[in-house]
Amino acid sequence: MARGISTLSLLFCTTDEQAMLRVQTQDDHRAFAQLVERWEEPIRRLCTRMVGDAHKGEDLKQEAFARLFAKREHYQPTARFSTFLWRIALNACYDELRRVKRRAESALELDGGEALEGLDEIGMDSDDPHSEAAGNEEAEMVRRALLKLPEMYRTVLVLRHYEGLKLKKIAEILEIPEGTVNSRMAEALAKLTRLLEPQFREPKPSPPRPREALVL
Amino acid sequence: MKHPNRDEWAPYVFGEATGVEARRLEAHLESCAECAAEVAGWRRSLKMLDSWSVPATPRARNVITPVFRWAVAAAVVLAAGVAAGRMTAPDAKAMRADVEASVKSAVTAEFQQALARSEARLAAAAEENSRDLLRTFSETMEGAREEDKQAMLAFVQEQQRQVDARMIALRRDMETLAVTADQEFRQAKFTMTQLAARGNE
Repeated sequence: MARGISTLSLLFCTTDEQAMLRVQTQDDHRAFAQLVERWEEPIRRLCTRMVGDAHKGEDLKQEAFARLFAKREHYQPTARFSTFLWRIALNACYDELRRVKRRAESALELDGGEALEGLDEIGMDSDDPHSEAAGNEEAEMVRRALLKLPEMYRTVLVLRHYEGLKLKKIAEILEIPEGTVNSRMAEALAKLTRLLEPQFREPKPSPPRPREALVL
Repeated sequence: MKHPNRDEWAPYVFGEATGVEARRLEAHLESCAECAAEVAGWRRSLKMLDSWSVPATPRARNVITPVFRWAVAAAVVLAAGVAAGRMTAPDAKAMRADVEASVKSAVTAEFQQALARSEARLAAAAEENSRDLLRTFSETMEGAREEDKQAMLAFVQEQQRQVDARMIALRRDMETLAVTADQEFRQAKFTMTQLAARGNE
């Protein structure tokens, strides 16, 4: 649930499921706007972290809501709205990552098929000046490490750590057994630690001392 | 030493393991340096993830919400005022009867006045209408009479002109006749004179 909704507006609002039902049955634009208002921030955060770029995250958020409206007929009123929306947003992210990967592959083919090793590091070279990561060395390191993780590991980490979803809920969204989520999470944490571990050991460089003046 | 399965650690690290599970895993960590080091590494990584924050976008709702709050506050004050007014109001039935009577008489008087005004306006309008009709009729009649007069005058003038022409022609004929008669009379006189002279001879 989006944060920051005032108590007063909560008194008058409907549940996500009721609003989505109105969107589905009556094309109710006001209900849709309500859903966008509640969910745009979590969806934008998820997309930004999945693709490692704030601008793309914003675009993917728009794409996710466009898909939500287009797929309103597929919504099952008995299902949780949040599960439906997370799934749509994740699929939008996966599609974008695949697009970028295909582009990189065709660019490499044009180069004579050399240096295929960097393919899994999508977004590594893209500096995102609008992200909080820019200008913060540790944050940039985290961004790069997350992008190096395979999508399935990044997904569980982002959903659990950043969005605070329970492991059971993640299993529901990804439509996999909870045990699989747990093993993916353990693998994700192990890989992430391997990527970040050198940073733990590296002593932080101390600021250079001013040279002492020579006393003659 | 038998280590727990890897997937058992995920719920534990995120605080979702049941009490029994959590105690079992904690006991293992106390006795297994290898697992303890791994879990500690995971925790450090998770802590480091917090350094990457995605700032929230500014939202228009921040501008709208105070307006909405003021609107609700105004509605509450209005509702309280109406409620207080209703509670402190005098006997509603008597007041309603008084108001009804006064309204009825006022409405009747007003209606009668309006009726009288309408009648007067109607009469004035009818009179004005008749006057207009009369004026139009007389103007029309006057116009027709004038036309007749003009026509008659033209007719008389035409007749006069014809009479004058005939008189002139008659006079010319008379004069011609007179001149002819005079010549013939003179001729006769001359002839008689000649005849008389011849007789004397």
